[in-house]
Amino acid sequence: MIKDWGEFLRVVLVDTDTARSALLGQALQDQGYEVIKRLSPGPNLLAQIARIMPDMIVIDTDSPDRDMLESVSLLNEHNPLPVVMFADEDNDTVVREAIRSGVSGYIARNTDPERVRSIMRVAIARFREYQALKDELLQTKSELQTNKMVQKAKKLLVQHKNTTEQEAHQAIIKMSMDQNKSLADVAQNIISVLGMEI
Amino acid sequence: MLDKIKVGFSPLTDCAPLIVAKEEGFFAQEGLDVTLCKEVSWANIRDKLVYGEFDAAHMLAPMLIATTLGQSGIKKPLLTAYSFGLNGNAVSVSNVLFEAMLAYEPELIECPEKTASVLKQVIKVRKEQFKAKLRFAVVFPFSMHYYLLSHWLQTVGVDINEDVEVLVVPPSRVVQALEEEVIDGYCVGEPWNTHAVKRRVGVTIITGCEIWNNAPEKVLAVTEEWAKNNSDIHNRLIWALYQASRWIDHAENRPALISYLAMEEYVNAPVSSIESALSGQVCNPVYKTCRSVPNFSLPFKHQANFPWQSHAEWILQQMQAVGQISGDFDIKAVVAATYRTDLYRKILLAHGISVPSVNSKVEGEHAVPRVNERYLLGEDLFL
Repeated sequence: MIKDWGEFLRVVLVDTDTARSALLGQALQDQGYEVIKRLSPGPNLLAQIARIMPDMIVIDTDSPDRDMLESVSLLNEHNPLPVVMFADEDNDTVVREAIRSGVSGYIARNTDPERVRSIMRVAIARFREYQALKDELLQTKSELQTNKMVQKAKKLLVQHKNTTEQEAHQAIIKMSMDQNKSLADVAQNIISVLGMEI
Repeated sequence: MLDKIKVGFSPLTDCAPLIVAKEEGFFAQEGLDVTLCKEVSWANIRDKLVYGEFDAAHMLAPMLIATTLGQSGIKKPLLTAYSFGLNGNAVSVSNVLFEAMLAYEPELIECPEKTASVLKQVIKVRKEQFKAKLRFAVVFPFSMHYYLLSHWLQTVGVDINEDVEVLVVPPSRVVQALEEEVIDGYCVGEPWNTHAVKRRVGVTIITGCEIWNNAPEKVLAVTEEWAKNNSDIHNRLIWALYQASRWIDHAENRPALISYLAMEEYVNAPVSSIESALSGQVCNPVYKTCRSVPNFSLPFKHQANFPWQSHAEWILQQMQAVGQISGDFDIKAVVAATYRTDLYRKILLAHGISVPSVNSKVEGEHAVPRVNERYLLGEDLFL
């Protein structure tokens, strides 16, 4: 079967986070979009985009180079014309969600608005998913950290206060409740006080 | 109960009133709990303000007008009733370009008024040698930086669209871009001129106030809709910022101001760069010469916080001159809707501060400060 190339939107992704960019690139390809290139932000971004001539650019809003993209259409008429995905009534929700998720879209030529929206929806979903993953990772890390600290505090209590492990554990939990502090904070206190005496 | 609001800002020294109002408690005194949100791009600031993520923002004055006109993708009526101050920009060039310019005028650092004509000579020679156009960076297409650069070049007949190449580079990246020879020069706010000079990457050749004395720069932008629905918060926000601007103007507060600005969550630049940026000294590190530009950046003096409608008018004329906007439209109507002198006047009068009763002033005719009504206004000459 001959592909209808007219249907294809050539997308460039610009992301400071290469892992997220890979994730989104795959997701878009799975849905049949052609991701021609993943770029890192930097001074050469414009030159690269001018060479590639994509239909659409998806960029993460942590990149200061967003402002560079806005210059192409305004300062130089000879280049392709990416304009920020604009906010008519049809796009309002998508644009709003994109801003909240930290992603922005630029359209370089006349393209089917529905396809553009659908690309942005995929981007928003992946950006959110990635953020959730990162948050979860941080959470897990901090739980592991707390666990380690409580174990260490327990050991110190056993050594210094002549208690059993179970008593030490209960004492830490009680302190946490009485002082309205997190387990990590209580453990940290014990470590800094008793750890010094070693 | 404090009213919680979010204000977006770009980490430049002229966002100081926001930082001071927060750190010195002017916001709290007005019953405001303000979260300051640092943004990496002007596009982010615009989008988040338009979509209500921010209640107010530190914004390029021309961006406010462009957004109201729908010139930058998004169309939304914005307004300002408070200016963050006057001046503060400068043009810096790479060491290589500076050397080339010195060949025509060895005392260049002492005579900013000759910089444009010297640059014109360099451009002419480059053209004859079939060298690439010089590349200048500004921070955004709709910015005073762009219009000041354009005006500076145009005084000697250099066309910003034809004779040089202009591109946008974010302020935090201009020094690196100059060092990597991606650009030959730029017009940007502080501390990024001083920083380039300190790092010996470039030389500042002319300051914004030498191109247009006491030019507008950043304004406090809000959406028309927000201002209508939150007029009380808007009033308190502006009064807190006015007090912060007055605080900044006191010389004895300078050390505290510098330490606030240097903080990681704010401008996050070396103390020494911020110090020099505020001192109004333009120096050539190689030849150890400095010249003093006392009005390099005015946060308060000379009615610096008044949103002069004549400023907005000039901006709109520049947008037309460089071809960013075309067609017939009512400049006066756009100016009156976006630059709300009436709100500023009402807020300050309520606190017993008298303010100019006129909305505009004549620009470009005064070489020395003058008293207008009973207010001292600064010079306003164009190069």
